Amino acid sequence: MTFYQLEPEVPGQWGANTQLDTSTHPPVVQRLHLELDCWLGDDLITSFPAYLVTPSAAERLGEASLTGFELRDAEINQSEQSIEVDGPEEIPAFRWLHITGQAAQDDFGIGAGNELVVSQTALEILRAGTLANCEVTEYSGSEAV
Amino acid sequence: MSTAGELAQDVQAAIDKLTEVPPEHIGALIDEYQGVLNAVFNGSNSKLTAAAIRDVALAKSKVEEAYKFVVLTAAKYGEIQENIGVSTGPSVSASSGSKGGSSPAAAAGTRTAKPAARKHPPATFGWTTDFNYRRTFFTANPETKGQVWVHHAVERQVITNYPGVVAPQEMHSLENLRGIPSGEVNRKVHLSALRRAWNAFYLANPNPTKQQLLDEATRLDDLYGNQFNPAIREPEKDEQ
Repeated sequence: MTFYQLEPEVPGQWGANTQLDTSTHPPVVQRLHLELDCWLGDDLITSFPAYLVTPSAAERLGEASLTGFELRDAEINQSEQSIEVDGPEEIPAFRWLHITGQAAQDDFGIGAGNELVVSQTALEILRAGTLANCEVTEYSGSEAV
Repeated sequence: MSTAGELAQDVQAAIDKLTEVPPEHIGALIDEYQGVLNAVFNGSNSKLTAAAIRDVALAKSKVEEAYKFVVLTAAKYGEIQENIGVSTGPSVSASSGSKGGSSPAAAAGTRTAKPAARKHPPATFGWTTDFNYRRTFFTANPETKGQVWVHHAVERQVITNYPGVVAPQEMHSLENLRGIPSGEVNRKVHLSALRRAWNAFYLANPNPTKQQLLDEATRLDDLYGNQFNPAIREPEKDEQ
């Protein structure tokens, strides 16, 4: 099976309510709070080291019986500066796509270089929505960085 | 690697930029001037005063940078002095920041080579107790208000990702702030390039030092600084 490495768009930064365990690398996210300020519209987004999906993508993934992830709650809001500059925008209730799988084995996994690796099936499901700003390359294994 | 003569000239040039004001007082002195200018600006709203405020902020940044440069380069100078057997000449005191005796350039005695000018300053941190970073930026660059997105060269979430490496007082200092034009350019530069680059940096660096963070900020300044407002790199020349 072919696997792909994904580099999603990065539309914001951690909010004040984020809780991380930084004793490991990558840090373990205990509570996810993301402040969006430049979302371009993709269904899959990231802010190191977490990934999130729109509700519609979460629904598609949940129905497909894929492996290697859990859907968790996240706190999402538009940043103060974004509201001031862009005006209030409607922000989807992104779900936290918590990756639990192994790269090139599960449908969702984290490679040795901390990259997101997905199966062909997972990629097709994500591409059924919007994935215009995500860099996609065929995965050929990785080395730890 | 720079020669002793080149380094000595660099040291001398940096020292020449400093006034007789003790370096530890320079920032406070310019802050005081800036406060007066701000008060005048608020009363007059003149473009001339706005420009003066910006110039003072830039001057503060450059003087503090020069001081840091003296400290860093003095250490290099000392090493080279030992290597080439030059045993005389004054040391450059990090605490005095002023001239003393003959210059280190003269002591090195090799002034034939012209120092390679640093085309662009590297990213650096200052120090502020005002964490309203947009106010800090727009106070220094009032003409950009409403036109730019204020971005941290070293991103804010570094404080969360790498606790203790960068102090909030450094993070929100003017030296770490960049103005990115709002609209399409903002979205392209700010999101697609800068954010993605920092995300890759976080993935690859478990325990970066403050200098490594600044080096990454400098690299991104080199790539995109000509699009910032104010630009911190020379604008691209039109090739057409």
